[in-house]
Amino acid sequence: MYEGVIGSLIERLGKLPGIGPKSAQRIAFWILEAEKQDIDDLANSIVEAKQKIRFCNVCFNVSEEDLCRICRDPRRDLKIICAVEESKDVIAIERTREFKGRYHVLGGAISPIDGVGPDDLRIKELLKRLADGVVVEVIVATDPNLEGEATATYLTRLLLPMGVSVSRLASGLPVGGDLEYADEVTLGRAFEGRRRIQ
Amino acid sequence: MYLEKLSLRNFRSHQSLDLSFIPGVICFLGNNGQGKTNIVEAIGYLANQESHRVSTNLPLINKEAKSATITANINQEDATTQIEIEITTGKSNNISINKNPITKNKEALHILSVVTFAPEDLEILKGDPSARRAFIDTISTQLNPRVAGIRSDLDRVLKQRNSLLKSAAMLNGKAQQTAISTLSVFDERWVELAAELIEVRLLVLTQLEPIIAKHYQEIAPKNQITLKYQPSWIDVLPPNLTKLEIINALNLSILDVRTEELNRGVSLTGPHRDEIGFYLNELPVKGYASHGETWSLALSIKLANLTLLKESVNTKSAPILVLDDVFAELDDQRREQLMQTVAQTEQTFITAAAQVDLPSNLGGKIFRLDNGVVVGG
Repeated sequence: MYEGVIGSLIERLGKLPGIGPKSAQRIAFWILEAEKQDIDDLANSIVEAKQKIRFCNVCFNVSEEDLCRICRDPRRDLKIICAVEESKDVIAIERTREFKGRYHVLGGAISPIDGVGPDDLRIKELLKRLADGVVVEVIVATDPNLEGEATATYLTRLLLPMGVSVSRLASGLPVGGDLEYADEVTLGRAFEGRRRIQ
Repeated sequence: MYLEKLSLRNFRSHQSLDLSFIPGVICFLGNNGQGKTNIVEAIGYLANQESHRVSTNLPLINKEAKSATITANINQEDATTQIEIEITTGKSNNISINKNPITKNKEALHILSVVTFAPEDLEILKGDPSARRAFIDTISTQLNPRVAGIRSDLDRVLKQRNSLLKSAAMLNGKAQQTAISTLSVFDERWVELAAELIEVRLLVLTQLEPIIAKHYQEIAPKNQITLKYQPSWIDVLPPNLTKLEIINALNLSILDVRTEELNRGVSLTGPHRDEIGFYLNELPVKGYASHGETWSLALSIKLANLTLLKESVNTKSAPILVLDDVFAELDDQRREQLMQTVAQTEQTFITAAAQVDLPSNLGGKIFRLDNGVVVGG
């Protein structure tokens, strides 16, 4: 294959998520042809992000400072915490502008196959945040798959005895979708979680 | 329903094969190794998304290719639906219905229903318990496609659970306590799914038993066939068990085997360890029945499968029947019984080495295979 500098560039690009050997090769040649300034900017952004971005001391969301933008914001409701698996989920929920509380990023879901147990998640840190009694509600917003549900059940068992109210995001029909195309499990859940119209 | 067209690309020995059919009987004749069974295997795969011969996809794909494609036009009440399955290894198949890709493959299970009778079916009676579980689960899925989802979720929970048991076995003290409380979280979901599958299996068995017994008596009067579900999670199975009672029994059973599960690092109770016993006049078929009796019962099972699908409210019209290399094994009386069913079926695909193996009154269209290619009808 390619030797020397270009070879190692392709190899390193190929380690990025979603990038196969062919894409890595295409990106490497794009880099060789691109303006020097653009490439310097790209390289700097990567180095800078890695140097500056760390995790928020409170919620473990990605942040440039000790506290993330959300935890610093005085307008956020201190009484509600939304527990999510990843920082990406924070961004997804923020886009809705529905949630005014703060977050807690667990860092994944319980999955014994992948060697992830409860101790590998930031569950202790969540319990610590609840210790002073300010928080009254925890919304568990883990993924609606087997591992996410297991994590939610595990958390719920720990949280309920602490006297906080625990809720789980509703699962059911996608907005703008067609009822006839929903699969049986989703439709079944939607029936379970139906609401009475007042 | 019937197949109008079938196209195979890189499916086993068939690199490129296009066939057109009309309703009725369709025979594939040819020497061994010409790819007759491969064609009917593809038809079965289209309906059930599993082969009646192998449990993995790899053997289905031609050695020269990375994936295999089966395309078929299915006529149902004068409307044609096209279904295409691209079979791959290592990831889930790509399926399109009327050229639109679908995201949930089990949706395609609603479209076509096929019952295959092949020499491999003797395994249901002679093989390991897993063959009998696979048999009952396949029928359950045909009757209710929702079962496909339950089965795949159950497999996933079982893997998580086994992985947890293996690692918990190596831990001790507080770490093991954490592992056990994690286990109980997965147990909750597992018990729920396991109970759903068991409930469906028991229901299908009660529907199946009298029909199998009736078909068997048509061949051998005065003989009694009984089916018994033998659970791993309760000593004696009470009649008319409700789902809640199954859940309670499973929960008790998990506690019972917990220590042993931790010692051995595998799940020891549940639907994946249940057995379905077939009895001929109170004696187990496995070990007691003769070769002829086993064939008769296998035939009765398949006829019952077909009857059940025909009667089911969830399937719109009669299933397609596939008879793979079975006529040569059956005597005149059994052939006659099978011929009656063929006459009542909209479309039947039959494979045989030679025409002498087939009943003379069969009729229908004949395709001959030579050197792996269809040389004519």
